[in-house]
Amino acid sequence: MQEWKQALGLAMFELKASLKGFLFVFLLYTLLALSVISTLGDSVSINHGIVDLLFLLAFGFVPLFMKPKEFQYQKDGDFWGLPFFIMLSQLPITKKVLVQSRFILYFIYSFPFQFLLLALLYVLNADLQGMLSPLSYITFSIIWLSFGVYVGYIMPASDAGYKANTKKFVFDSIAQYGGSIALFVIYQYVFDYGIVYWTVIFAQKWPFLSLVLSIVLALFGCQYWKSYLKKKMGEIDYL
Amino acid sequence: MTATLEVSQIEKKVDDFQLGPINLQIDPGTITALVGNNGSGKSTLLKIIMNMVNPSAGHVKIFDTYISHEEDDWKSYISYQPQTVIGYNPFTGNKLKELIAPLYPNWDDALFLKLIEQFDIPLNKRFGKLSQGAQQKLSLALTIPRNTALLILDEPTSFMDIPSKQYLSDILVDWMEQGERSILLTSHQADDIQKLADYLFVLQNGKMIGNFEKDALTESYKRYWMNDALPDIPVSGEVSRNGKQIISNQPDITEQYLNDNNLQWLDRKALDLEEIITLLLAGKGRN
Repeated sequence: MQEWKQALGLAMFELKASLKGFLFVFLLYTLLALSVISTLGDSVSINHGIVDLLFLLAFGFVPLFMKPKEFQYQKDGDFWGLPFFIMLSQLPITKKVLVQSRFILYFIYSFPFQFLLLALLYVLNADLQGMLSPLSYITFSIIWLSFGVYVGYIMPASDAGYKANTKKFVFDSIAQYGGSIALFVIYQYVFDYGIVYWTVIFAQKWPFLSLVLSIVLALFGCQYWKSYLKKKMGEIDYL
Repeated sequence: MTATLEVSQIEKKVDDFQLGPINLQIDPGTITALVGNNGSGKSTLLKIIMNMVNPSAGHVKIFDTYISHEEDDWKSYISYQPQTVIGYNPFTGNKLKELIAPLYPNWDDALFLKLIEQFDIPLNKRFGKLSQGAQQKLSLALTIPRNTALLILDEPTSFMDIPSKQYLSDILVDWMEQGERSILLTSHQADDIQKLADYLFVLQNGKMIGNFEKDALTESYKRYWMNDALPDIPVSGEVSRNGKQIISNQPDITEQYLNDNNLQWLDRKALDLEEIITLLLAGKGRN
């Protein structure tokens, strides 16, 4: 309990210093999400590529950019790292607490936006209301919030930093982002049902199984990414 | 007596730079200055001690605890101020103190306030907005009062004005007197080393030249102004010569040689520390 309190304290310390920037970015993304949802209107089906894109971004990448610039990755030679994290790692804070604090912070950055997005989508999209009862929508939401954990938590898990020269960084970025975009485009062309639409079907037809599977994956994912960060902290040279 | 810090056979390879093997022991109540040319591996060694860099070989012990990634207890024994402090920029001095002070049970708030007052640092201004000198002073004010057994300072005075340097020296001397504490510092400032250090640990291009007791080292180097021309062959104890001047790091042997060979000197003076360090780093005078 004491460790959890200390971890929360550290997360809040960073959040307080970045609150203005965070609220601004939060508002900006909320407005963006709102405009996308409004554009869809009532007549456009939830089985739409733009909905997939919105969800993948919101639950995978966007929370990373919720942080003001000073708290994002910064480059020093070939090393990319978070200055505040490196500073904390020099203080007498246990690794367990430090790791915990990073995940708490990510949760604070990501969850409110993701929750708001899910709520707005249901309220504003009649198509979705017709497909899912409020109870099924809760299952649908848990599927995506869990996705935000077992996929999205790769973000705080990378807080230890990494070494990459400009060439490698450009190559990795093209491979990661280019690969993701290519996969997404191919998926949209090949399959009739979108990713989000599939999760709607899962929430409709197998709510219990979807719920259990998502929660198990989220719990496992959370533990896995925590261990990953701990391991990385021991491997990296902060030269 | 248990050593405060024990560095044993530490090695690290970074690209084509090889550090070590390094052996260093720091006893309680002593100040060791880590001296070396640029790029000699001083900061890397300090980061290995802080477990921020993984050594290729060897280990570091603080008291009886091995420094490792598995254990965290050792961190409470060491205060470390890196050459470039990172992560402080978004916070004010007040906020940083709020974060750091509770982590150290022996935190000395009176000393913190004294340093802040003496260095005239605004605590309500963001660290990133302060001048380099003020940043260095604030960083010291947030490091020294932690009152840990070992204080590690990497180039603590590089951006400081002269009066502040003097004040810091006095503070560190007072700080040492208050318990069985130790300091390990790197500096290119001979004055800092002269005033503070008990030992000089000399590194050159990653290689350990030696750990010297400062007073013994300054005693052992003498410059002679000769009356007579010097012989072509090296004089016993000679480490350097320039015309009729000769420098020896074994004055007893040198004087014996000069007497035996009826060579007279006009004057004899001790070298200052800067000259001695220059000679050591030039590869002269190592026994």
